[in-house]
Amino acid sequence: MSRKGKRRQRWIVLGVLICCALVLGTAILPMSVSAERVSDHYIRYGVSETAALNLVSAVLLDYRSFDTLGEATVIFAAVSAVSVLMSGGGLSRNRRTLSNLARCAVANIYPVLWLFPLYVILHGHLSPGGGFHGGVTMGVLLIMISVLYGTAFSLPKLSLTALSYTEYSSALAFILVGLAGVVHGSGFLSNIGAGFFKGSPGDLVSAGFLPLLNVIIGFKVAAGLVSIYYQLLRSGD
Amino acid sequence: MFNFAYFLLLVLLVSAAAAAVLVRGMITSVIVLSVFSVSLTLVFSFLQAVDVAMAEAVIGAGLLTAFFVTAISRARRKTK
Repeated sequence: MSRKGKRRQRWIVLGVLICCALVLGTAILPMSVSAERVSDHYIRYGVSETAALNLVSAVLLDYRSFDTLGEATVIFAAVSAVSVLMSGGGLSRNRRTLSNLARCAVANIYPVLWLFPLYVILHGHLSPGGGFHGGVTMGVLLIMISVLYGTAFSLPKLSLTALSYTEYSSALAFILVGLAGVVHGSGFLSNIGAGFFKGSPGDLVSAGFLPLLNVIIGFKVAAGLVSIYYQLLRSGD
Repeated sequence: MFNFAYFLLLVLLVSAAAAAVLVRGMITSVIVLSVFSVSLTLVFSFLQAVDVAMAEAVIGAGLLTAFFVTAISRARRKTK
C-alpha cells in the first residue's frame, strides 16, 4: 500500500473511533429525572415567579443568570484574544466608501433600523429576543457605518478606547447588579428575592432586573463585536 | 402541506450547505453561507424556537458575512 493510502486509512480509523465515542457518549450521558422536573417548574411557575412573559429570557437572566455571566465572559475572552493576536500595527483609516446610491439609500433608512435593536432589548422580558440579539444588531449597524463611509469617517466618532471602556464598564455593571443581591442578603444575582421591582407580567417596567441586565448585555455585546471588527482592520505585522 | 414545506426547507438547507463548500470563489461561498443561515432561521421558526431563530438570523446572515468579507478582502490585499 502506498504511503498516501496508509495515511488515509489512519484518518478513516480515527474518524470511525471519534464517531463511536460520540455515539457512546450520548448514550451513556445521564438524563437525570431532576433536570426534567426543573424544566417543568420553569414552565409552570416561571411567569408567576419572575413576572417575565418570555420564559427563555426568564431562564437565561433569572434562574441561570450565573451562566449568562459566564457567556459574557466568553465574549470578553474572545475580544481579548483577537486584540492580542492583531496587536501589531495601527488602525487603518481607509477612505474607501461604497457608491453614492448605497450611501444615500442607507442614510435614509438607517435611523429606522435602530428601532429594531432598541425594541428587542427593551422588550426582552416580554417578547422573543433580548440583550444578546439586540446587542449583535447594534454592533452590525455600527459596523455598517464604517463599511459604508470608510473607517476614516467612523473611527474619530467611535474610537477603540471608547468601545473598550463601554465593554469593561458593562461587565462591571453586570457584577454590581449581582452583588446587590449579596448586599440584600439573598445571594449573588438573585432577582425578585433581592428586592428588585417585580411589577405585573406584561408591563414594560417589570420582572425585576431583567430589563436592566438586557440593556447591560446589549451594550457589552455591541461594543465587543465592533471592537473585534476594528481589530480585524488593523494593518497587521 | 406543512410537512411538505418543511421538507423543502430541509432540502434547501442541505443543498445550501453543500453549495457553500463546492462553489468556486470565496465571496460567492460567503454569500451562499448566508443563504444557509436564512434557511436555518426559517427552520427554527417552523419549530417555534423564535429566540434561536432571531439569534441565527442576526449572527449568521449579518455579522458572519461582514467578518468573512473583511477577512477575505484583507487576505487578498496581502497576497497581492
